[in-house]
Amino acid sequence: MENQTISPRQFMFIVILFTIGSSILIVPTPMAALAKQDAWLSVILSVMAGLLLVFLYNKIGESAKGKTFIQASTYAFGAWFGRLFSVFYLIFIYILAALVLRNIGDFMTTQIIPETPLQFTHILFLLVVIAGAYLGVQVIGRSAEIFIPWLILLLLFMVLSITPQISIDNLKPVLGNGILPVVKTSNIVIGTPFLEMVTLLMIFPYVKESKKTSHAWLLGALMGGGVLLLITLLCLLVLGPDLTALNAYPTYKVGEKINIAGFLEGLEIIIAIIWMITIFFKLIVLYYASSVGIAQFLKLKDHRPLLLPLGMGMVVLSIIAYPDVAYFETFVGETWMSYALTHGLILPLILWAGLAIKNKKSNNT
Amino acid sequence: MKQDSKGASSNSSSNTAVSEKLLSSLDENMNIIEQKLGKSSDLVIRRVSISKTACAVVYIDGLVDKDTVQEYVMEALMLDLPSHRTSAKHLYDKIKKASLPIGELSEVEEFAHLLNRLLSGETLLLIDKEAKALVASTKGWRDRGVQESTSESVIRGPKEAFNETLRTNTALLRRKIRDPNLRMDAKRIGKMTQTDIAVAYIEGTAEDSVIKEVHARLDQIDIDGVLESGYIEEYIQDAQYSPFPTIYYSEKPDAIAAGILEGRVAIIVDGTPDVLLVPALFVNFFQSSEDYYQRADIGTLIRLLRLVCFSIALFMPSLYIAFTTFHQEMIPAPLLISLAAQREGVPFPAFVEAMIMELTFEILREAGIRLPKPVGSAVSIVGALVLGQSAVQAGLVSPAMVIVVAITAISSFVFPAYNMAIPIRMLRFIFMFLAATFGLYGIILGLIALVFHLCSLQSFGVPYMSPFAPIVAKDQKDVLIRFPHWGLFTRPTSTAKKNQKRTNPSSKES
Repeated sequence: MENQTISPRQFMFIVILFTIGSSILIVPTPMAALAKQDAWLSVILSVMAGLLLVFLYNKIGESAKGKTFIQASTYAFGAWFGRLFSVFYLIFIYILAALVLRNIGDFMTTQIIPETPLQFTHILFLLVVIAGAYLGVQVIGRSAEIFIPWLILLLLFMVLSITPQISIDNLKPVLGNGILPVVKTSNIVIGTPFLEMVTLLMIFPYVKESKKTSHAWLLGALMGGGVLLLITLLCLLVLGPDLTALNAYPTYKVGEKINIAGFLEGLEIIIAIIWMITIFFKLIVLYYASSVGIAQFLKLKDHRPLLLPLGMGMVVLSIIAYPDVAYFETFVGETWMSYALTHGLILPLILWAGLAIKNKKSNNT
Repeated sequence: MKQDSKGASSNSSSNTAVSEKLLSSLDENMNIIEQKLGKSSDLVIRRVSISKTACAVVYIDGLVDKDTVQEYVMEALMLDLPSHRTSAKHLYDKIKKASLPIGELSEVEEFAHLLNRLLSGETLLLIDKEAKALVASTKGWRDRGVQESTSESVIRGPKEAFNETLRTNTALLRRKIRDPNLRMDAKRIGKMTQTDIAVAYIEGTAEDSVIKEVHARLDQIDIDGVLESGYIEEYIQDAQYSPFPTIYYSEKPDAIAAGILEGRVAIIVDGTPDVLLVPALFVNFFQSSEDYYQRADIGTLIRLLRLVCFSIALFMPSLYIAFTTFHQEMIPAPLLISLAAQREGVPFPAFVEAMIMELTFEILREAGIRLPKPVGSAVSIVGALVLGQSAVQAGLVSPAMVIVVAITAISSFVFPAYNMAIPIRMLRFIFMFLAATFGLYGIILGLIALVFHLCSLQSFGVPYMSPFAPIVAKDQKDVLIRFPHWGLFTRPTSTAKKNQKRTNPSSKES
C-alpha cells in the first residue's frame, strides 16, 4: 500500500490531538449536567478506563503484526467473514467522521460565522481534510509536530490569563451527590474519545520502531486526557457546574471571560483555533482511516481515488446525521456509549481472540 | 576596473560526440576551422613560419588575455624559437616541452574539442604535418571584479559578492575554506552555451546521497542554453508546483561557505553571481549570514523578529478583513468604534479596499525595481503622497487600511531571501480571499492547508520543515534561537550526518 512511516513521537502527537479532538467541544456540557461539580472526577475515572482500552488496542496492534484492522480481520477470519466483520468497523469510522464534521460545522455556524450555510462550512473543511489525506500519513504526522507546540502555547496562555477568574468554591462540595453519578457520567468521556481510538489501529502499522508504539499511544492518551481534565476543570472553576451544563459550548464561554488589563478581550478566538486544529486532526485521522480501510477492503492499490467520492458522501451524511444540537446532546449522553462499546470494545475483542487463535495455529504448523 | 580572470576548468568537455580527428595538413585543418566558425570578426588567425615550418595561432579576440598571447605565445614562437636551431622534425616536441612558458598546455586531436577550447578562450597552435594541436590556456576577459553585494547588504560581515566569472567565484570559496576536502566537480550544461558549472562541497561532510542526487539531476538537464542559475534551479528543484523555493541562492561567498561547512552542496554557474545551495530548508530562508556575526542574543532576537514579520506579511491584511467584516464582536470596543468611524465614508467593502491597496503597492514595488534610479524618487513621491494621503482624503480607503498595507509591505522586506518573500506575497492574496468569504474559519483552514503543504515538501531528500517536523531536538540550537558559536557544537543532522562534530564543547574557557 503505502511505504510512508511515522515516528513514535509523531504517533504520540496524533494520539494527543485525536484525544482532545472534538471531545474538548462536546464533553463538558453533558458531564456537568449529570455529575455537576464532580464532572472532573469522572474525567479522571474515564481516563483511567481509557488507558486500559489503549492497552487492549496495543495488544491487538502487536498481535496483528504490521497489519491494519481490516487486513488483520481478513487474515483472522478469512475473506468472507473477515469482510463482513470489517464492514461494521468501516461504517463506524465513517459515521463518526461525519459526526465530527458536523460538530465543527455546528460550532462554526452558531458562534463564529453565523451567515455562512452549514454545507459550505463542511465543504471547505472537508476539502482541506481531503488534501491532507491525499498527502498521506507521513505528512499528517509531521504537521502534528508543527501544531503541537502552538497548541501547548495557546493552552498555556489561556490557562494563565483565566486564572484570576477561578473560584475554587465552584468545586464544592466534592462528591456531594455521592460517588454514583461520577461513575455513571464517566461513560461519556470513555465513549468520546477513548472508544473511538480503535480507529488508530488503521495507523498503528505505519509507525516504525513498533516497540515504542504502545508506549507512545499510552502516553499520548494520558496527555490528551490530561488536557480534557484541564478543560473540564476550567469550565467548572470559572463558570460553575450550572452554567457549564447550560451552555452549548462552555469552553468558548470561558474564553469570553478572559480579560487582560481591561483591553485585551474577546480572546475566545484562541479556543476556536485550538478546536479547529484538534478537530481537524481527529477528522483527518478518521477520514484517512476510512479511505485506507475501504481501499484495503476492496483490495485497491491506492486509497487516493476514493478520497473525493467519500467526501461527497460525507458532506451529505453530516447534514442529515442529526436534526439539531439538542438531539445530538441526547445522543451523546444516552446512545453513543452502547454504540461505541459495540465497535470499540466488542469488535476488537473478537478480533483479538481471532488473531490469537490464528497465530497459535500458524505457530503450530 | 579591469581584472584578468581565468575561465573554467579546461580539462573537461561534455561534447563527446564522435568527431573528426585533426588532419596532418595545416591548410586542410585551417580550412575546416574556418568553415566551421564561418567568417566571425572576432576570430583571429595568425599564420607564422617557424624553422621553415608553417604554423598557425588561432584565438578568439576578447576571450583571451592579449598580453599573455603576445608575450608567452607569439614572442616565444617568433623571437625565442628561431634563435635556437630546431629541425622541423622536432619542432612540435620542442614547442610542447620547452618553448611555451605557459602553465596550462595540452594536446587536442579532435575538432570538437578543439573548437570547444577555442571558444572558451584558449589559444590554439597548429603545426604543419602534425595531426594534433597544442592548446594554451590564455583565458582572460574583462569582468566586473569582486564588488560589494547589491542585493544582500549587511551591517557587519564581509561585503564582497560573487561576480559573473566561475573561476573568480570558486576562488572566493577556496579562500574561505582551505580544507583539502573541498571539491569542485566540473560540469558543462547547455548545448549551445556550453556553460561551465561547478558543484562544490566538502567530501566527508556532505551527504553522499545528496551529492549523487545533485549530479544525477544536473546530468539529466537537456537545454540549449543556461544564462543564469535560475535555469538550473527550475530543472533540479523538488517542488515544481509549489510557490515555496526548495533551493537557496545567495551572492555572498560567506553565506555559501557557511552552507558548505554545514554539509550542503553549492552549485556555481558561470555567468551569474547567484550561487545555488542545496538542500534548502524552510528555516534557511529566514536566516542571514549576519546572524552569525552579531552576538548570539542579537542574532536570536533578529530571527524571532523575522518570524513575527513573516506572520504579519502573510496574515495582517486577511485578519483585518476577517475582523472588520465577520467578527466585529472580537475587537475591543474602543478600537471598534474608531475603526467604524474611519470606515464611515469608504464606499468599498474591506476586501475590495484591501485588494486595491495591496495591488497598488505591488505595482509600486515592481515599478521601483525596474525604474532607473533617478526616476525612483518620483515613484516614491507618487506612492507616498498620491496613493497614501490623497486616497484617504478622497475617502476611497480608510487610514487604518493604509496602516495595515504599510506594515505588511515593510514586513515583507525583512526576509533576507528574496525568493521567500515572493510566495508570501502570492499567498497573502489567497488568504485575503479566504478571509473575505469565510472569515477566521477560512484563514485557519488556509493555515492548516499551508502547514500540510509545507510538511509535504522536501529538498533533495531532506524534509523541508525539519528540524520542526520531524522534530530534531539537537538541531533546535540554530533555528529560532542561535546559540553562541561555542554552543553550536554539532552540524545540522539533516545535512551532515556523517561529520557531526563542529567544535569541542570545552574549547571555551569558562
